[in-house]
Amino acid sequence: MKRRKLQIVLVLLAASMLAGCNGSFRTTHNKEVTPIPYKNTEAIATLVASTLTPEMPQSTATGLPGQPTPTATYDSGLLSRQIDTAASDLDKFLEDLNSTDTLKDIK
Amino acid sequence: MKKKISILLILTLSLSTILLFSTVHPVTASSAQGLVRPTRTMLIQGLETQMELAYQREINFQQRQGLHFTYAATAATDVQNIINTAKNKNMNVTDLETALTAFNSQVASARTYHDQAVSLLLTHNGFDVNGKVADTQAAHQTLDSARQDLQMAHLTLTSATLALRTSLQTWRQQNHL
Repeated sequence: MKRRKLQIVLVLLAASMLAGCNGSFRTTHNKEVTPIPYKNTEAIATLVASTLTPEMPQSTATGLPGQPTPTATYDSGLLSRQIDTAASDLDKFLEDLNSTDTLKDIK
Repeated sequence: MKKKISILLILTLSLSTILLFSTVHPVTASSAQGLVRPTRTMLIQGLETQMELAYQREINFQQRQGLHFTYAATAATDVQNIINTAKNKNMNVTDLETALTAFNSQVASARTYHDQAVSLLLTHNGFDVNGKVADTQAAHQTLDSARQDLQMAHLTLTSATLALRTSLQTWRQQNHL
């Protein structure tokens, strides 16, 4: 009977130790990672906003009657991208114009 | 005395005969080597072949140049998008607008030259429907006029595109973008 009690105590002790170790692993090995608190919508929203490209145009909702019409807002990223596209298209165009300069052969 | 005169006469006659014979039947290097001298017909045929090839090349060129107007329209749209975005940010776009207006005007001018060349090549004066020379003079005129128009269109397009590219670069630098 005494032996049986000792066995139960030992099992309980082992279980509590395991539970303790698990907790310590979490705290010691993942120190550099700051977990996002579950159901913390504000933190999730911040994280999502930071991963999205900042060049995305903001909301352009149409105005309702009697309310001022909201104006579309753009950030500098969109403009930079548009300039890059235009510069690239113009360069390709110029390259093609140069490559077709064969009229001097037509006489 | 008479004998001397007769000898001199004979010598003169024989000399002139030799000279006459040599001019009528010249022994040229080509005939000596067995080569055939090109006849007038052969020269004309060669010229006509060259003209037919040039006609085909001009047709190919105008087809390719037609695509350049699509590229020009894309470039104009790109720059217009920049102007719209920059205006929404209350930026000064006067230089860019001026550059785009000049570009569009030059593209329209290039289009006029290009269309003239297309019209000439479609009418194909001096060429038959298969692109063979029917009238050398008229064919030459068609080729020459079409070439000049195509060349003007090409030069105008290149100049306009270079100017717009430079203006865009300058505007970007001025606005630190």
